[in-house]
Amino acid sequence: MVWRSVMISRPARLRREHYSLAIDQEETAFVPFEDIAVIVLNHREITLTHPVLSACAEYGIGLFATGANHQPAGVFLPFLPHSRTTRMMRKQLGLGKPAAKQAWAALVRRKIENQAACLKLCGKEGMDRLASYARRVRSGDPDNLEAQAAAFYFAQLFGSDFNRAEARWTNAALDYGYAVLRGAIARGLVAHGLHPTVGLFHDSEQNAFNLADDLIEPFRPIVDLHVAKHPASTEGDLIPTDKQALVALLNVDVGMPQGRMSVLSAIEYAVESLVRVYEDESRQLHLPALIGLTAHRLEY
Amino acid sequence: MRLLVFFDLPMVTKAEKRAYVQFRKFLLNDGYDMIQWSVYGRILNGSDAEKKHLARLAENLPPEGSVRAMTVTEKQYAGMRLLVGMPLFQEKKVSAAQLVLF
Repeated sequence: MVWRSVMISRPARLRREHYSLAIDQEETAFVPFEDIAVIVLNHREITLTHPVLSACAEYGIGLFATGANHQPAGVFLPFLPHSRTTRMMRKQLGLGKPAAKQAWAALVRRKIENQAACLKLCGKEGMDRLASYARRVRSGDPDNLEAQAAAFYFAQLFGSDFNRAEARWTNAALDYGYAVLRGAIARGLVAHGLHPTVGLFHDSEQNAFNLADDLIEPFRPIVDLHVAKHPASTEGDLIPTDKQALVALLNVDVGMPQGRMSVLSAIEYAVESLVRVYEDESRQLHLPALIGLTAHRLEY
Repeated sequence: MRLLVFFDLPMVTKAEKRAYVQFRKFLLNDGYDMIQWSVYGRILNGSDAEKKHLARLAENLPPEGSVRAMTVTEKQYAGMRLLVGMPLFQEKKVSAAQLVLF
């Protein structure tokens, strides 16, 4: 069970030693590859060796690279190491319309419910209206309640003058948080033999992560809640502590049918339930419920 | 929680030295850190991980000598008193936190 996220924000040299990631800075520290889920490279002066890259593929680690604007620009994913890749690919392409539409409706419903929970946790108005949107979601969401809910929700959460397209701190923080989630979900999909390109609802020819963009929806309000609760401490760009806090959201507790667990574990369970949808079209998706921002504790 | 492994191994014959080197190498490869000479520790995430790593340890034991293993919780480990000397860089840096920053 992978459980660690490693974030590197200072100059470093990464190499493989034994079965661990060796991080050379002033001193060297080692993290076993076996424990790592994601590595975020967040500094221009990081070098890494080829054995590190191949170890990431071997152990199914998602390796994120950030671009000049410090947003995650890409993710290195294993080359489909699953034993039944072709079988899953056929299942994905052959999924019936009704099953796909029902799965999409379940994702949208839970997303809107989580948006309502987010408003409640922030002490804002409007959760009744969102709850009513969530109840009205039909198979395939033909009324596009997802967009209606989002328009209402963002205005409630960040004020009526808020615009998702504008370049400002809130948007940068949301984009960063979503990008980290998206990569972690893409990693979970690949680890279970699913192809992130073939989506349930998202179907863009130019998007390599259609399925990740489907599954991310109910997870997004976790980022929204964090950003709403921790407004900018500086003007403009994100500062390193902002980014660390956004990556740390992978370890926040969410409610799953199996109980409370970290977002990283919830992604694994959600992907497993998605695999069952492909295998046998009658099953339910297991999706996370937003319950707050408490970090998951390994021991009590 | 932490799995701690303590050992004393005979180092007289060539075969004994070889067994020691192989055992130590196994520990490092399985993600243990050297806390002191002949005392190695590994962070575990839950009892499933404990079972897995104990089973691997059992498969890689040297034929002779004395090897002990003990699991302690993170709280117990953190309560360890350092009477002389300082914690290692590795110990300070790679704690049980789910997000590690470098």
